[in-house]
Amino acid sequence: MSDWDDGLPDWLPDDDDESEDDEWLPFADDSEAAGDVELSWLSGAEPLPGDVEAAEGADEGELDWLAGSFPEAEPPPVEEEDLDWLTGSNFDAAPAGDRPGASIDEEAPDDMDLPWLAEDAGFEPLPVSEPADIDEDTGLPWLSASADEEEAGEILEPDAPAGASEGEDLDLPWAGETGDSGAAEEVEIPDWLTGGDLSAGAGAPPEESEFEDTGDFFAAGADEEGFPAWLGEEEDAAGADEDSLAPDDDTPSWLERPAETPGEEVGAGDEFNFRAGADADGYEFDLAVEEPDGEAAYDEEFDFREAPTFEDGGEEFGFKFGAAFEGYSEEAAPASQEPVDLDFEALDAELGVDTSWGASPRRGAAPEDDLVVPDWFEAVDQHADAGATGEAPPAAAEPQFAPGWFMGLEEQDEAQVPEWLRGTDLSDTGDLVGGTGDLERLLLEDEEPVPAAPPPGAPLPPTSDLPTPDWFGGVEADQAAIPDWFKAADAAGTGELDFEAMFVAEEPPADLPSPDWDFGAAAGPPAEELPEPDWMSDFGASAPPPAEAAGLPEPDWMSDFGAPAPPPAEAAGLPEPDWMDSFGEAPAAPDMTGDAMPDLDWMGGPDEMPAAPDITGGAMPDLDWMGGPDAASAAPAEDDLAAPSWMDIAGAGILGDESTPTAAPARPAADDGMPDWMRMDGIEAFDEVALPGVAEEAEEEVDKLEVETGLAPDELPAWLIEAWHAQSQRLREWGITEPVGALPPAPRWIESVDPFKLKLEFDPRELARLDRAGPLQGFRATLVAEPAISTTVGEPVLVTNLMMTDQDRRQAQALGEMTAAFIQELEDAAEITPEAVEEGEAGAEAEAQPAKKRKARAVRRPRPVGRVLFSLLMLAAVIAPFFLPADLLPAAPARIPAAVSDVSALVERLNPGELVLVAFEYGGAAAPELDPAAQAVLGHVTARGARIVTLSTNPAGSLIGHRVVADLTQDSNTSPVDLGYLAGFLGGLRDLVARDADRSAPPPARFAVDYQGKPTSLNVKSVRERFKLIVVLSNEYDALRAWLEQVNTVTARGGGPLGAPVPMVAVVGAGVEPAAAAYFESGQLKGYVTGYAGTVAYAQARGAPASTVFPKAGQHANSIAAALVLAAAVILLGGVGNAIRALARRGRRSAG
Amino acid sequence: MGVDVDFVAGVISFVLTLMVLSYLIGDNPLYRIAVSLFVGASAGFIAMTVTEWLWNYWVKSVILGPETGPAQRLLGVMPLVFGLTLLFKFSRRMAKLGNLTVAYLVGVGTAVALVGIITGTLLPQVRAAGDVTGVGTDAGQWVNGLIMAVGTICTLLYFQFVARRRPDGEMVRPLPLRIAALVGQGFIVVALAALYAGAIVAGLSVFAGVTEGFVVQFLP
Repeated sequence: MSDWDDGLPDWLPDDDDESEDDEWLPFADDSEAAGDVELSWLSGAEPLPGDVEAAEGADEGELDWLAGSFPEAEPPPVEEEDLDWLTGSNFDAAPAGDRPGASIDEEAPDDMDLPWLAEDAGFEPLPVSEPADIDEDTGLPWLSASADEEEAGEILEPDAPAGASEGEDLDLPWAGETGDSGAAEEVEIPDWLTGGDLSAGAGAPPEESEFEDTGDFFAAGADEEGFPAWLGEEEDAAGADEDSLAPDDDTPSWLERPAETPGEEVGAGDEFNFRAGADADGYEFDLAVEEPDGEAAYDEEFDFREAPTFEDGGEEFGFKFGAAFEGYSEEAAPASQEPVDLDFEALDAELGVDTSWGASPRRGAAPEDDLVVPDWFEAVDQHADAGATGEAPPAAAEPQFAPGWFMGLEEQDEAQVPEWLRGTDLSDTGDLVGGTGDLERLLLEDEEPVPAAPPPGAPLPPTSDLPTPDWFGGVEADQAAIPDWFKAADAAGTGELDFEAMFVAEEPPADLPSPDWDFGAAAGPPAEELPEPDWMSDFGASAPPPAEAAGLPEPDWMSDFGAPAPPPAEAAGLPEPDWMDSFGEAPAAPDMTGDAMPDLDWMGGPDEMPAAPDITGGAMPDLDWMGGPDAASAAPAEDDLAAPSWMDIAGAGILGDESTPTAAPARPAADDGMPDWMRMDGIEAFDEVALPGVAEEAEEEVDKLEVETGLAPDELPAWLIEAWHAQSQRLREWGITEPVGALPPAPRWIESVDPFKLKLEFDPRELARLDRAGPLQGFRATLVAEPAISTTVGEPVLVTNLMMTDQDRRQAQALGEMTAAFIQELEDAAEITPEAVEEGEAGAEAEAQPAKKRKARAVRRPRPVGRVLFSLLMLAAVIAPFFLPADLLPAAPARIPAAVSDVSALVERLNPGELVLVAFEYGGAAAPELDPAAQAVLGHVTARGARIVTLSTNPAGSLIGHRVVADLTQDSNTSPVDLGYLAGFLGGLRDLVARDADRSAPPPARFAVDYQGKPTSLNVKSVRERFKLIVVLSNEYDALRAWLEQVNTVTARGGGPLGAPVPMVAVVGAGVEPAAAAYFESGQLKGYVTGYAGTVAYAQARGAPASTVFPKAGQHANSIAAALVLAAAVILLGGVGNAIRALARRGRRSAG
Repeated sequence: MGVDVDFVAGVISFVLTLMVLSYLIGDNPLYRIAVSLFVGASAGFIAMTVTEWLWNYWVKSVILGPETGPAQRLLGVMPLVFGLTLLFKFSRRMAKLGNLTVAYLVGVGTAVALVGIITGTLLPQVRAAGDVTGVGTDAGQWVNGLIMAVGTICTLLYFQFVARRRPDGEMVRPLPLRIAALVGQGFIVVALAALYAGAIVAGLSVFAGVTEGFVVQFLP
């Protein structure tokens, strides 16, 4: 059931429309979800003509052609509030709407009020005495206070914007500057809202307008006078309270608030605290008003998900906006949970009302002072009423309030006054706003009594008898002009509108008008029943009558522009051209080589029919042909809407969309409803221009294209032929000879990004966004950033007919060979079994398998046969000599090295009692090698009676030194000193000889105490002064170098008061011998002893046998020699073997 | 019957050595046990040594020494304070407190090392390489000195990467430089081989020494 049928707005509960709306009006739904409250439907006393809607759509997307050519087509979504002025003017005219393409905002400013509330009914003079009046007229009925007689100051909740979070401070600029600003959630509200005029709680309450309860509010005449009856909640209370109306109150009675409870009257200047907030879901809205004394005057929670209800009993007028947020989708709800700063400017724009004036409501101001009327409007009024008083309207000393649409029209000159306004009969009202006419009197004068509400059961007074604004007189103020749904409220003929009757009616009349934003309505009312505004004359001239348009099918491709699909019932029986599908699924641009997208201005039309565009120049064709005065003829007729087969690209298989129907059979170009330049017969002329002199190969290409598309050459558009030719030329340039076969199935990820299957999803908040600056200020949903979320539609379709060249095939084959070779090499090198390769190809599945299976597939490591064999041989070579005769090899070298002899000579020069500094810089790992050498050298030192002082920068070395020295000196008379560990390494060594470098430095404290902290009594002032020899025992190059660089550089200096240079010798491992040799050659080391050979040589230099240092010196030497021979043999064999393999590999490479 | 400590030590040393050498076959528990024992024992001994040094020397002698003056005590405390600030490195938030100490250590250590390298290694080695005064008239020493000089020069030239670009784009060193670099490469190979051989010899010496210590217990 469409909204046209039920006459209800979408935001009202109507489950039948949800699914359909979701399909064809996503933008509208999103807007609603974003918090847009559609109010313009309230003005829908008459259905909105389809052409008017189309004209509105033209403002947004330059689709005014919809009005002219396809009046039944669903226009693209537009912002509902932008159409308010249409509805407010009762369809007759739109200010400045005679300019095609003019923006909505130009016509209706953001602060446009909605005077429809009073205008439509025509019952109530335009209330201007109080800001609240204006507010009520601006389409915010919920702002109308509804006070319970027990709860003074209770007001209705305003619409909470979607996304407002609970506890969030609301920015309510219209709420005035008063109130408790310190409260976090309290905002100020204007007096009128706090009950100044509604509840009579603040300021000077209009005594005459006191109501007994809320039910009186509308029933007491307001519904008949100024409000649609449906806004009156209960008629039963009307009669009871009609006496309470204030006949002489300048405030419309329907705005009056029930009288406060006696004794609760609030004086002037008292302020109410207005607190509002939404829950985390954004569905529930809490509104509370506190009186100045802190007492809660009103506290109510509203659930937006609930349908608007008018609670019975007259105690509370609970207008809930749940249905307004019916479109609040599940997807949008989470996003709205984030705190959103309530921007009432945006709210104004969304609601199409102006609430900013409420920021400083001026109570008690004269009505004349509050009315701002555009000059042109007054001029029009005078113009219309030539016989008026001629008195100039009193100039307003202050800005006055007026409906927003007045403000919007103010900028228009008289010439642009809508025709409907020109035709307004103002003769009876005189000056409209000058204070002399009837309208002014009706609107402003205090003496004019407000018509009392008719008693219950009384017939509804004729519309003509009601004080209808004159501007409204332009509209037929007869029963015919009253929408049926509106009249349904007064079915009983009692003159009291039955609001529930309008909403509860299950089967509204067939001619029930739809809200103005009901784009789903496919068929508007008969054209003759609709007053056609002049500003639409341009469109109307070209627009076919609805009756004519009714028979036209609605092409689907129009829906791609945002226009909703027609109701099924409406579209039933209408042929749906297949060729239109290509617009929605495949963006097949007419000119694929063009630089710009087609200008859609052609759709809206200038009057003249442009010539066929020249698409050969790269520019896209001007499509104005679809608009224009003869749009009806240009528009495709019912039988002509079938697309030309050449446009069915998907069907031709180019796009690979198998789901798309195949190309339609070729039709005569004249029947496709397309412009001449797009017709097949245009190709002939085009060929003459764009393809003159094309070679025969081009014709061949055309033939190929014909084969590909299945179309005759005369059906192929020129641009397609040209594009095909260019593509073929490029392929030839690239060496691609001929398309071959189909590619293997494409990966899934490619299918997922099929551009022809994408469906864009827009964030409703983005669509509701209002540009506030720049050239697009005032526009909504402009330049919306495309969301990153895209989803695929339907099952993915494999692309099977992509071209594959020979080069591609060769490359694929080469890749396969490389992969196979790589796998084979892995198998050969790492003993990978074919089973393991197969399992390895499982890829991701292998990752998910248990660890046991992965372990089983692990590449088996080669067995270390060679290493085991080498280990056994080495072990035998080392151990076996000890069980063999000792004289296999000489135990001592034939010649004592000079480095060893120099060490022996230095030690030999030591005198008893002289200090020898010994540094043990090796650990336990090198002890078997260096201990014998250390024992040999230090034994010689001990034998010389010198005193050994040991220290070490290696913590482990201190232990080794302590043990070695203790073994050597246990039987001697010397008393070695173990200083233990020397911290700091380089720094510690440098500090050790600091005084040797600088005489002013303090003596080294390290020599004062031993490793146990006991005084050493060495009395070392400096190293050079006290020590005669420095012996460094190390198996590491770094330690030896550190001693040489930090200590020897200082102690090796000769002369001076600090003593003679101190020679440094080293006992190092075999691995450090090259470094020690270098320092020995440079003279920094005075000698060194290396490993077993050096130890034996040192002993030999002292004239002692080798057995003094090695009990089994002969076997020991044999052991080392055998192991070295074996190691050398293995190294040699390994080198030779690697060389042979390298040569063999090189030979294979050269051969291969 | 008393236990011969040397015998027990020799047996244990030999067994542990074999366990370490078992790594030639591959990673195995025996190797890991031996390495773990060695690492654990070394770490424990180092901790004991440092603690002993810290308390016996630094605290008792430097800070609390009877002959230490107030200024020396204060200076003696400073290293401890710096050392304590390094403990804040365990906390990411308070790690900055130890940056000063680290900066001090790095700065002083770098300066000391740089000075030592220049004065203790670089200059003496350069001087020794170019000193021909000590060669005398011995032909062998002349040859030795010549080899050392050539080897040094060629080794340094090997690390010279100045080259020309051929028309075909290939980067090629000049011929003299290529020859010198080749000679230098040979010297480098010999030097590395000597170091490697020395390492092998050192290892075999250790192994032979351990074996000797074990075998001696059973040999007459």
